[in-house]
Amino acid sequence: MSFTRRTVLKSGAAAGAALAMPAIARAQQTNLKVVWMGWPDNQVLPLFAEFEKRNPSIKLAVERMPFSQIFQALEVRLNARSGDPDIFIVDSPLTASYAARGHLMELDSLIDKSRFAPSAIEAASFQGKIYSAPFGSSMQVLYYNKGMFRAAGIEPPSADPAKRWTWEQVLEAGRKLARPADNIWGFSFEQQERPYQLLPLGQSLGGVALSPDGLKATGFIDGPAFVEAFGFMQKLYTEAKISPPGQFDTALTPELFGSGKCAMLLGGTFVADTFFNKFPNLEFGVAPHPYFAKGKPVTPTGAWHFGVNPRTTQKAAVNQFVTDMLSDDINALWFKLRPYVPTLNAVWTKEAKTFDTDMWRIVKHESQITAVPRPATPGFREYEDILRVTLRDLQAGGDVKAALSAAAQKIDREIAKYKG
Amino acid sequence: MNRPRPLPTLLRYATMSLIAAILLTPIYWLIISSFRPADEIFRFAGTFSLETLVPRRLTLDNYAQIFASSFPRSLFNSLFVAAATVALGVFVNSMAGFAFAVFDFPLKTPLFIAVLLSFMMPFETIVIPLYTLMRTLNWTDTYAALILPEVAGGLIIFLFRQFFAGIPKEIYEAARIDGASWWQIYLRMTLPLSGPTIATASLMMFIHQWDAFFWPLVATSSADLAVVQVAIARNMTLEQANWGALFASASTAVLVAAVPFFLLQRYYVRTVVSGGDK
Repeated sequence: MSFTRRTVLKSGAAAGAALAMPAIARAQQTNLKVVWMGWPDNQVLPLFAEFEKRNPSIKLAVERMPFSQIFQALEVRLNARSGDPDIFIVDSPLTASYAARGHLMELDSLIDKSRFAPSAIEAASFQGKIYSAPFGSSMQVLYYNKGMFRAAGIEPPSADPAKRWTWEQVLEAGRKLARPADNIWGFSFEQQERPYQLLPLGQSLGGVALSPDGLKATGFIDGPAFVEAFGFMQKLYTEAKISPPGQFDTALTPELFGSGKCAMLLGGTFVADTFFNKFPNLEFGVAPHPYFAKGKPVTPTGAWHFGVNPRTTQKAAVNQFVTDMLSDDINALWFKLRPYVPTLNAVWTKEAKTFDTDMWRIVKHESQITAVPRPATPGFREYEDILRVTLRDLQAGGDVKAALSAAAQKIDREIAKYKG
Repeated sequence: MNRPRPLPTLLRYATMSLIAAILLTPIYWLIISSFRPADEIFRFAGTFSLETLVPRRLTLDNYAQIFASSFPRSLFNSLFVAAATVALGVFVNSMAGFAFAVFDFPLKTPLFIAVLLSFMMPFETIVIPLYTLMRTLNWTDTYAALILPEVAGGLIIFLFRQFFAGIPKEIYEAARIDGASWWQIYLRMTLPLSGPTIATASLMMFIHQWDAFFWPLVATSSADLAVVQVAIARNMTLEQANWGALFASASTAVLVAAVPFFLLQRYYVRTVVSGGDK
């Protein structure tokens, strides 16, 4: 083989190109726009830092939106039908709503269903396909103030799910503990007006919150089970006066419990952290979610998922994001930063030591046995908004059946647009 | 003239003081809570007592916390955005108001009706097209997106137009005969006369931008461009709230916004009262 000037030039060019490759690779950095919930810095940033460390070619521009308007702001961005944002946080019951309107990319090829709790996959699915990544779930447990129970001479509820309290027992103990005139309450829901928290009451009595196709509320949310259950809820505020009326801010009720103004709180796992950090002297115990004596135990579930904008131009990078964020160790890190109920089976084994407490034993049991996700409907936003107002009104009094029927009709009118 | 009778006067003042106290209590509570330690904020809030109003312990922790965060940057952003909107807005809106008041031109009435309608329309109805427009111009996530859509305001144009319409036409004609250009008349004669209107318009634009929350949230995404209301709202999430930081940042925002209002309130009241009888 003879070296002509041409071969020398050719090989020189090839060598130059080979040398330049790493520089080109570095220059091909991908930027992903991520809209996330406005959780505090220290609970969010380490998560994304870890992702960037593993994927040096992907930079994340993370925007943390305040909870009060995150859904409305996302609506505007998504309705502009551009690729901004690439990734966004999804409240799990909104999965169907976004998916039906073409705002979520199908994720079936990226998610191995067998790694997750079945209820998490159910909450992430719409028409049999996965549209949101089940990043974390939730569960409610009954917190009680040990000191207040001691002072009133009441035996506190057991942590054993087989011996869980009935709602009737909660009411009876609440009557002994509450002194409404002194702003001392027996029992409070953490989220006093939200279907998330209140639907399990009716479901405990066998009620179904929405038709199976997700498009009809009449005959479901105003059926006898919900009328009876929400009648009981109303009694807590009006006749028995054991629950604080009008406290609809979900951040306020844990304050009431933490400062010793409320003896029992049905709240999420996350609230425990608030108690440990903010009220170090609070002596509290944890028991399973109550149920009606003639019904069955039902608990709420579902929480923050995230989704991919189908109009993103960075397909490879978003796939990497989904895969990494749902990996065992990043998901375990997320749990440590913010203890939502893990959706990944592996996290339960990996963090076995952390889960060796009453609270997490209860949560594990409930997640597997009693958890029922919120109804899957493209009209969940409308459903929730209408029901919230009705539940608020009911706590002030009024005819339960009439109010629920009116709400059901309104919901039917609003979600009719998603038919067909 | 009757001599004021002491008892009714006393009673009147007592009643007015009581009403003032009731109205001011929530603001007082907001500010005093920002100086309380976290575990005391709600301890005395359920039943009204002396301890609800007088804190047991005072702390500057909440303020230390927000000023160590990105809050000062948000404070600057809001001040900058509000000041820039006011500076541009006074000229743009007064020129438009001048044109509507002084000139006759084709489609004047339909255009003026459009101006009136523009401030009666709820913002939610235009937010999606506005956002799409900003994207097309490549202005999303810039100060331009925060400032420019808010510069021209129907209500402000209306305010200037009402004021300029009250100036006798003869003055303009005399100035024209003396050889002044319309630009000189606007800049040298009418604008200096409209001090109170400028003060009112500035205040309205300033407060509007200071309170802006939803549009900035939609239009900008980087943390460096977060405005003050967004920074305040970040202290609340679904499951928990950083009440101390929330109250400290809200108190700071209220106090900063009050400064221009106190400086200009004399003029503000005067224009609102006189604006109606043109």
